[in-house]
Order: sequence, then C-alpha cells, then structure tokens
Amino acid sequence: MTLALRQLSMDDDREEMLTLLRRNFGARQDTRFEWRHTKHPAGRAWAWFAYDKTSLATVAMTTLFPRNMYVDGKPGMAGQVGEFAVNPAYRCLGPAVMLQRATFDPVDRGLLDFCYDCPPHDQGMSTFRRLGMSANTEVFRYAYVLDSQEYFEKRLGKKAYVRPISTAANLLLRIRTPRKKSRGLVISSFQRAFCEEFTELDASLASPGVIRASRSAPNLNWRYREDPLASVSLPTGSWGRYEVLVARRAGELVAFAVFFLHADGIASLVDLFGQDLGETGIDLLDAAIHICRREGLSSLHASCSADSDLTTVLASAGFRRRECSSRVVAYAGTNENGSQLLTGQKWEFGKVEVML
Amino acid sequence: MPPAATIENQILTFMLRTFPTARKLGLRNDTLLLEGGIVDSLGTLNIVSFLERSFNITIHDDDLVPENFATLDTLTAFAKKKIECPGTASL
Repeated sequence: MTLALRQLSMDDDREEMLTLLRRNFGARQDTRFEWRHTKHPAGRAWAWFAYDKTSLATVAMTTLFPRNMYVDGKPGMAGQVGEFAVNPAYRCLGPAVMLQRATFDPVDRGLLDFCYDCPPHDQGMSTFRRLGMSANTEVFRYAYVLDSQEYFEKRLGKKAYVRPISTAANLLLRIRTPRKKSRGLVISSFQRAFCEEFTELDASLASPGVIRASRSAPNLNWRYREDPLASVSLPTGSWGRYEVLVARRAGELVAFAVFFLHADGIASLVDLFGQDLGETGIDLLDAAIHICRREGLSSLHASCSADSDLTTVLASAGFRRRECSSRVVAYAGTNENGSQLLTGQKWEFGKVEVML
Repeated sequence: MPPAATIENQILTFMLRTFPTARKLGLRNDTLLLEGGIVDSLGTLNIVSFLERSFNITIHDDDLVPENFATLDTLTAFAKKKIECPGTASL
C-alpha cells in the first residue's frame, strides 16, 4: 500500500470533507463549516486528506485553522490543528505522522509563525512522540460546584435523603469569605458587537514573554457573535449561549469575561482577560457565578494552562483544579528563528486558545 | 537471527502483556489488530519501541502502514523482514 497526501480546497472538496467530518465528529458539521473554515479573520483553513493511492480511499484527514496570536508581546500568526481523524484500520501511526508533518508545512514555508495541537488524551500524543516532540504545556480543567445534588446522586443514588443533604451542602458552598469589591469597578452584561475598545485593550496587554490568543474585535466577533451554533435552538435541544461580562473603571474597559451556558446545566468559562485580573478577574468571576446560580446551573468549568497567571485567579475565586484536559504541542520550524521563537515563553492558554 | 517461532512468541507475549483487549478477546494469528480495536496509534508506538528494542532494528515512518500491523502474522513477517534486511522500508 502507498499512502499519499492531498491538500484540499475549501470550495471544491467541501462535500467530501463534510462526509468525513460528520462520520468522525457528529452530524452538526454543516452549520459551522463556512464559519470555521473560511470566515476566520486570520484567513482560510488548510486541510489535507491522506489517501490510499491504490484504492483512492481517504483514510485520514486533518485541518489547520489560522489564529491571530501574540508571541513575546508581538502580533503573530499561528495555526491550530483540529479535525484530526484516522480510519480505525489505519491507526498504525504512519498516516497520522504524515498528516502531522503536513500541518508543519505552512510554518516551514513562512506563512505561519508556529502551529499547535491540543491533544485531549495520551493517544493523541503518540504521533508527537514518534516525531520526538513533547508537550509545551498542559491545560487543566477547573470546576466551581454550584449545586451538589448531582455529586451526591452519583455517590449515594437517587435516594429521598439526597435532596436535604445536597441542599445543606449547597448552603455551605455559598459561604465564602466576604471580599470587598474592587473600588470603582462596574461590571455589566455586554450584548453588542465587539468594537475598537476591545482591540485597544488587547494591544495594551501585549506582554513580553507570553504566548496567547489575540482578543481583537474581529476575533471576538467571529468567536462569540458569528458562531452559527451559539444561541441556535436545535431539534435535539438548545445548544446554549454565550454571556459576556465587561468590567469598566470610569467608563473605560479594563477586563472582560465570556462564558458559555450549556443547555445541559453547566457553564464553561471561555475567556477571562484584562488588566489586574487578581482583582477585576475575581469580580468578573463572582458576577459569572451569580448568573450561573440564577440560571440554576450545577457547575461552572474553566480551563487554564499550568503556567498561566489565571491559575491564581481561579483558585482565589474558589475554583478547584481537576484533571489535565489537553496538552499543547507546538512546532515553530527547524531553523534558528523558529526554534528560538517559543523558547522561554509562558503559555497563557485557556479555553479560547484550545477550542476550535 | 532468532528462530521464527521465537520471534512470534516474543511478539505474542508482548501483545498479551500490553493490550488488555487482546487478553480479553484472545489473540489468533489472523485477529485484526487495528480494525478490531486492539491496537491504536499509541499501541502502535508501543509495538514499534518493543520491536526496535527486542530485535535491534530501526523502524522508519514508511514502515508504519496497516499491512505491517494488521495481524500477529503480518507483524511477525514484518519483524522477520526487518531483522533479515535492516535497511528495508516498506514503501
């Protein structure tokens, strides 16, 4: 057997891609295809098929999504690997290694500063191990329990005495050390399109020594306002919706938080970004927790890389660290510039950098 | 070169020790390892390390094709070929 690669066209190969995406990642692929593959402010995605040259059957695929990032205080372009799927009969590393190398190609050609992948489990690391690469950082899930009923039902069963126990536990969960709100900070819900003030905040926080996603207005609008599945009711039930909270001091935007309220009763903190997060971040998280309680949700989850400053903010707000939810493996090329680019940088990665 | 039966036994012992599904389902010479869900990419990586270490061979990316890892038989044949002609790649 001989395997070969084919780079795809987002227009001509759309239907074949969708067939594979539906087979591997579920039925809801059509709605988001254009948005995800062609509408990102950083440009169109690259995608490849690995196919059997004899039978011409497609045996594996992957996509590289362009992302605006900041590296060491400077704007840069990265690619995020996603939609990595290999037919079970071909999970012998060869096709996966071939595709992974293909995702390095835009970096080697100078089109991207680096690319990164976020394997959620150890199996996903096998290709990188074969290539002699290891994780640059790990991203951990954090949880804030709002309602303990599900926790007790899992351990004790759906017994009559579980409700009083969980009610008492919920009261305990609400008892927290009273904390003074940050002086002059006004937190409010934000429902409009993201505008220039977000781009300015993003640029003003371009810190040296840090790798993170750009929060410019076009990127935020693409992610939170233009996602066709957010706020859309599906036949199988509502998908959920984004909530954006902004923190202002004397009218000036200083920080914001974005969380996603899932239809199944949990919420995910997607982004928390801004100045003085040790204060503003905790106030934003308090406001998010209040909204989640009001909506009757059972827990609020967050993601954060091991070396991020956000770990302290989440801990201060009462979040508990859970399991490693993904590893970040990056490739910046083999030349001197590439290998130096990511060295010594701190990975400020949260959900927004990891999600596709 | 070790006798063919020894190579096969060593691989079989490794497979049964390493892959719980192989122990559970039993492993015949023609059991489909990849399609049967016994071995995935991480499993392949483990097999590659085992073969390289045990038989002092080098396995190239081009060798990582389903024909070589499909069954115990193909795996044994592949190992024997690599031992006999260490420089040979599959493609």
